[in-house]
Amino acid sequence: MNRPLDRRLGWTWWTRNGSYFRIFLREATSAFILAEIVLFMLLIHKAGQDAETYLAYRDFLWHPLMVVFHLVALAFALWHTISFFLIAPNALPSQVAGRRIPAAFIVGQQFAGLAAVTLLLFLWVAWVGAT
Amino acid sequence: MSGRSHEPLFWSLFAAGGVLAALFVPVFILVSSLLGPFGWDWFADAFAYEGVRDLLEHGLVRAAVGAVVALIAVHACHRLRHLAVDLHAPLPGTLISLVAYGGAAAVAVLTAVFLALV
Repeated sequence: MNRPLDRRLGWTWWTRNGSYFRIFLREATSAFILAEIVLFMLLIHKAGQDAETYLAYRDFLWHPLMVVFHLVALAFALWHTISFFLIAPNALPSQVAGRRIPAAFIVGQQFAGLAAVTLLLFLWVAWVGAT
Repeated sequence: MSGRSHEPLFWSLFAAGGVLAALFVPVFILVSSLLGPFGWDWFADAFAYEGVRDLLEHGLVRAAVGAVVALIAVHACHRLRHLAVDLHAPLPGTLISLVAYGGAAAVAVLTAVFLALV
């Protein structure tokens, strides 16, 4: 598991062909996810301070340039979601109680879960904002 | 290879964080950072000062946010660690691991502290 890639490939292996590049992109999604998580951590930090400090941070977060960043991060986050769901059948046991679980079922369940989580969070935040 | 490795532990945390990131991060970016600036008032109000404190008011919400943030941080740092190794970063492997998992631990602990202070 911890075995590094063949050093003879150099560090530019991901530019060699499309499937390497897709693997690189899949792994690189974590940089954007980590960045959004750290921004969220700071939002929580500012929420614990006075209104002025919090709003200054929120204005930074909602600055047009940051919005561009969030759009790019959203694209990478969705790429993570799709690629992670699609490889899940390879990581999970293919049989439960002796019966085969079709890969399409596992993938479908995950997208159903995504829809449910997205809808619930969306409605909750909208409800808090509207009341 | 040695008989014992911490890899399985990190891998299971990585997988849990991966699922949570897949489920929560897209909608989180959407509601917190895009719908408000694009002019949807409900989401602008939800992330006004009072709104965000209402969102984080309930203890269960804070506990869930802390756990989700911690696991996603472990996931992202684990992946970045492997990516750094695979890109042949000219640094000792232990240093890369230390920075990656130390960073994840720092995010988890700081988020817990910040949540307690809201």
